[in-house]
Amino acid sequence: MNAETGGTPAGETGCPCSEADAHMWVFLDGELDQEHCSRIRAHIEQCAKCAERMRNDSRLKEMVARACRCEQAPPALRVWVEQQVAVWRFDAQC
Amino acid sequence: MLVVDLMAPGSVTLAASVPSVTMEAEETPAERLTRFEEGALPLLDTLYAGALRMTRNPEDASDLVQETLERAFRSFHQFKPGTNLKAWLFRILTNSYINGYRKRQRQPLQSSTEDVEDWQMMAAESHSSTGLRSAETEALDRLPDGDVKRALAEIPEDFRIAVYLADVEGFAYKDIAEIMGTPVGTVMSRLHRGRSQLRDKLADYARQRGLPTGPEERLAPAVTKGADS
Repeated sequence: MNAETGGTPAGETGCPCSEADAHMWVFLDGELDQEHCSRIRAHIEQCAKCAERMRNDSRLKEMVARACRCEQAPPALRVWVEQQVAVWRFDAQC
Repeated sequence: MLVVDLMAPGSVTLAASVPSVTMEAEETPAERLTRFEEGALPLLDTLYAGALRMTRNPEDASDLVQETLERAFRSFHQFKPGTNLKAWLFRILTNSYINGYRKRQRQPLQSSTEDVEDWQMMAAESHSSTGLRSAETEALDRLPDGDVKRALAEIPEDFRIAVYLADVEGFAYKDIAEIMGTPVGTVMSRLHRGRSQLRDKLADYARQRGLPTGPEERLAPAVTKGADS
């Protein structure tokens, strides 16, 4: 057992690890209500294990974003769009 | 007069299939086209990226984007200016994929068996056991983007779309719920389970690539359980 990173047993503080655990994704997604947010932030400052969990979960989100963000529409699709807009414009003027 | 609100919860199945509805708009067709060009077309890459994650191949992704833009343009008079155009387009994209593309492909529904809607219960049962150590996360960071995409492609479709919409597009839960036509609780459950599965797959890839994934005892509880007595 690693004493340095050991978690806080449930019930020892106002916001036990289990609560941080349950709300971590919602917290990281920015969807947690103010009250729970404050409790989780306060807990993370005291608990190395939950702080590490938060960093790891946060990095997983970043990895997904980074891997998927750089896709570009292929040239053939762009050509289709241009042609389609020309058709729509023709129709609009009729 | 029939007015279909495309942004209303529960109307996702209508989004891509409503017939033209006569509106009181004074906008001319040419003006509407200009508004569509300026608002929707700059999102072409974004839509294509989303379609690619859904269909998992470039040709089908292009087809899906074409279908989406055609439907979106036909319904564009129903889009309320000032509301979230990207969410509106993703709703049509997702709807076209689920109700159109996938049915035509006759792909089996990659259902994710969502009997359990109580995401908090799942959180309690699974999170601490699947949390990564820093060493493992650092190993995952070194995986090529292709591995992340592959892992995403391998998790069930509902999970994949939810994770994509949240982590890549940054949509709020309520937007994802509207895009996918599900309650917010289901979105939370899909995100939670999708990310857990994603992380497990990435950890597998890291081990296969020989990347250090932390102290050996990490595997001990699962692998050697029962062998120590």
